[in-house]
Order: sequence, then structure tokens, then C-alpha cells
Amino acid sequence: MIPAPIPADEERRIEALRRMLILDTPPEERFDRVVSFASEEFEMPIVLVSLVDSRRQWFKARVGLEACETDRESSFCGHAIIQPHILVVEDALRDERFHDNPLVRGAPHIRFYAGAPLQLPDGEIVGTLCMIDRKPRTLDDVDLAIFGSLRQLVVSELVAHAEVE
Amino acid sequence: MAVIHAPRPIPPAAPVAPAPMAPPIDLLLVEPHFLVRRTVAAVARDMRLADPREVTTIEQAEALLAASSFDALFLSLDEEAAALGLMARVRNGDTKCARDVPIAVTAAACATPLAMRLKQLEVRRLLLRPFKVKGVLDAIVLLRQPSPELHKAA
Repeated sequence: MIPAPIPADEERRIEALRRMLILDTPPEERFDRVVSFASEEFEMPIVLVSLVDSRRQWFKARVGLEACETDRESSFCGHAIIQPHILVVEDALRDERFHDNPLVRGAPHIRFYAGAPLQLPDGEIVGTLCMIDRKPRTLDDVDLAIFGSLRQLVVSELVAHAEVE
Repeated sequence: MAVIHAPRPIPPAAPVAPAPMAPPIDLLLVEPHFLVRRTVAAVARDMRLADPREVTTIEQAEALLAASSFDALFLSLDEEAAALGLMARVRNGDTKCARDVPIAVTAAACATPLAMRLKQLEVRRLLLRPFKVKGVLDAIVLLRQPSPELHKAA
């Protein structure tokens, strides 16, 4: 397993995330409805709004997963946030970064992962909207456009949350 | 009462045109569900399929159609009677739109009387809930195509 890398702007990124005062807050319908919608649209068993904190990823919204956080080192989202484009891992068992990852070898048995980085207007990437399946999958261009559009809705809600706070 | 579950099913592999050469069409999109409406509108714009005008009610659509013309209409039948009335007025030429403007609709269910009425109103595509955003985009691609009557005339 290749541990999730630390982005060059980590300090500013964490500062932006914590300034939002969203970590460890209760579930909110405006985020929950996006993950539910994505789960139905793409028939994905697990969909998350994952915020990548310094040592963990914490889930602001989740479908199909009991855990509310996991460690950052083994997180797929930790890999997704180092650049602004959607990261797609079609089969984790065939990817050198993830083939022996505990989240692949054990529960929740990730095989497919797609993570759309949540980039705030100031450029900092605080987490992802991500979709997970237990079998290999692919996304076509239309899927990616729909997924990217849902990501923008999550970013809009994060910005609105930050403005309220 | 007979219920038509999938009057015109979309094949799973039906491709959405990836990069259409024609410019985006002016589309009136009436959809009360926020995520469906915003996602369809955003992706249709991104793919240059359409430049949707988004409204949530038939009343809002009526007001727009009284003032503006559109290349295609995509209507939710959540307000079934009002939506059917609006489509009838469009087909009668009582709005700014062309009488033969392509129309697609979404509905929760479609019994035989509704299916017959939609056929009379020359609705090109019916999507039954729950539908996928991808299915709506496929329907928009269909709305971009010339009507069969235009084919005949050409």
C-alpha cells in the first residue's frame, strides 16, 4: 500500500477546513440528499462526503457505511485530494497504490473508487464527494459530467455553510 | 386499470452525444426536484446539449411561454392537469413557441388514458420515475433531433 500523500499546501488546506467549523457536526439534509441521489443515480452501495483532516477522513454525509471516520493513511480520498481532477480507481486490486490496502483486503472491501475533490473558491481542497463499489466499475464521460455536477453542489453547500458560520 | 411501466424504455447502453456539432438548444425545463433539475441543467450546459431555463412549476412555465419561444420543452407531470393543459395550448399555437416544438415529459406513472393523451399531444418521450439523469440527457438528445414531419418535408 502506498500511504495517502501529504499535499504541498497541507497547512493552508487544514486551516481552510477547520475555519469552516464543519468537522464533527451533525448530519445535514442538504449533504445527505446529495449522497443519496448519487447512490441511486450510479447504483453505488457507498457514497460519502469525506473531509480529510490531518490524521483522519471524517464523513459529513454517508450512505452504505457505518463508520463516521477512518484513518487518513489508508484512505483513498487522501490520494484524491492532491489534485483537482476526479480520481477513478476502476479495480483497486490491480492498482499498486491500493491492492493491499486494508480497506480493500478487509471491510468495506473496496474494489471501485471515484473521488471528486471538493475545491473551495480559494483553491484549497478539503475533501471529496466519493463513490465506492465492491466490484470493479467504470465511468463514462457522461457519468463523470454528472458526478462533477454533484460535486459542485456539495462545494456550494460547503461555501454556504462557511458563510453562515 | 392498466399501467404502462415502460412505454418507451431507454436501452442501458444508449449513448448521449458526446460532442454535438449543433449549438445548444433553448430548453424549458420544468422539474420540481432540486437535484434532478440542477444536475440535468448543469450537465446539459457542460455538454453543450442545451441552455436550459429552469423552473419548478407549470405556472412559472406558462409565464415564460407567454413571453419567449423555446426549441424544446421538458415538463414534469407532477401537476398533471396543468401540464396537459399547457401542452394543449402549445399545440394550439397559443404560446410564443412553435406549435410543433418537441416535448418530453416525466411522470410517476402512466395509465392508458394518460398515454393516449400524451400521444395526441405528440410527446416524443416519457420518462417514468424513478429515472436516471442520464436518461433525461438521452431524452434531450432526442429533442434536438428534427421531427419526423420535418424529415418528410426535407
